[in-house]
Amino acid sequence: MKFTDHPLEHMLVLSAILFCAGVYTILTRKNAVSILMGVELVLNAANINFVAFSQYTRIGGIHGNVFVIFVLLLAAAEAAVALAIIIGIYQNFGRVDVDQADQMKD
Amino acid sequence: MTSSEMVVNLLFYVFAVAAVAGALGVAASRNIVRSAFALLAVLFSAAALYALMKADFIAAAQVLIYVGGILVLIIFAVMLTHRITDVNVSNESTPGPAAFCAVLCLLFALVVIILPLPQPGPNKWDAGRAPETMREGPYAFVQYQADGKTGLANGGSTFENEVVVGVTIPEDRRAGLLRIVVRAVENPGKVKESLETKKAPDATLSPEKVRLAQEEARKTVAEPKSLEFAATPEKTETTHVRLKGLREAAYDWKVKLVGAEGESPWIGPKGDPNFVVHKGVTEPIALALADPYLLAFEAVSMLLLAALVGAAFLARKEVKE
Repeated sequence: MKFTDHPLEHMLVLSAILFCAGVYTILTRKNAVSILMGVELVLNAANINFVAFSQYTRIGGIHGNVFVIFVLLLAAAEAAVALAIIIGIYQNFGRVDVDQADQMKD
Repeated sequence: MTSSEMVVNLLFYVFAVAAVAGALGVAASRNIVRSAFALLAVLFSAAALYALMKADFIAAAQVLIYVGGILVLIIFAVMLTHRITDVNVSNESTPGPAAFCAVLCLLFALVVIILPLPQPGPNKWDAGRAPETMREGPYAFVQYQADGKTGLANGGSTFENEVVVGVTIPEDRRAGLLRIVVRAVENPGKVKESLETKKAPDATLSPEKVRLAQEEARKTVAEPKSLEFAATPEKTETTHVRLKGLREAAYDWKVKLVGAEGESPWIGPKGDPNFVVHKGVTEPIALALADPYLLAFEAVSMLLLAALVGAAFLARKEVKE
């Protein structure tokens, strides 16, 4: 199975694997920073799909690439805010485990 | 398989294996610092894959923003929130056979959706990848990207300086056919900016020189550059002609059949087939951000501003009254 014969399928399967690794990381970790890494994996999988569809379909054009730029910017904003929240949780609880930050329930 | 195809195959598999290994490392490592470095491998491999898909600007932005910004932020967070001695137990994961099974099922479902698993063979992606056929009389024309397999929509953009044109000629007209000539003409009406707007007259020049420069520019625009490419007809119905060394411009093309006893006129489907050649994706992305996506771009700028203010607010030190 050569990549150059079916490039789109290869890229889609690769991004599916990255997506599943990211979802597994999000599901199983307690540490908030690890969960953030899982989210980055999922976003990267989506980006690979965008560029692959842009490049390997007839009506590709530039639009997939532009969406990747937006996803990159959103990921940067999300990482900045999430890490500020993580630092805040650490200052209050001394740990960053997501199952400990449940004060809103009370 | 040509050697360049072999290199592309090899590069894809090298970086795909690196990306998958990195992703598994992120998901499985017990050490959060190791997870962060595995994520580095994934991000770099993804940048390499973007470059492989000819998205050069995206590859550069990936390295700058993800590796240079987000990953450094993550490593800072790891450093700020863990005592170094804790690192080995800092990344505990809930033992999750249930999560593992669920994710395996998800992966299986995705692969079944992507690949035509029950009957391998032609599938739904091929339809999106195949070129559109344009007809004129007994002839059919298609245009492909430089790889010769991915179609190029009529009026679509390509990011390399090569395009492949396929000409299908019926059996009875192929007898005595010597050459198939494709003429690609730069279409000045569709070129993004004419030379006149590109070269603004220099204020220090004398009026006479300005007039001469404008005349020169007009002459260049008025004479569109045309390129001709010939190929000998193939045994099969369809002959592929590779248009090489195209400049950054919009092109129209027509086809001429040269036989032993004469030439056909220039033929082509109605409303000539055409395509636009760009050198790399950087300029098209800039134009897209400045025109159709301007509102979204502004919204993202507001979002970044809000994120900046919010992060600064969240991370500030409490001031006790």
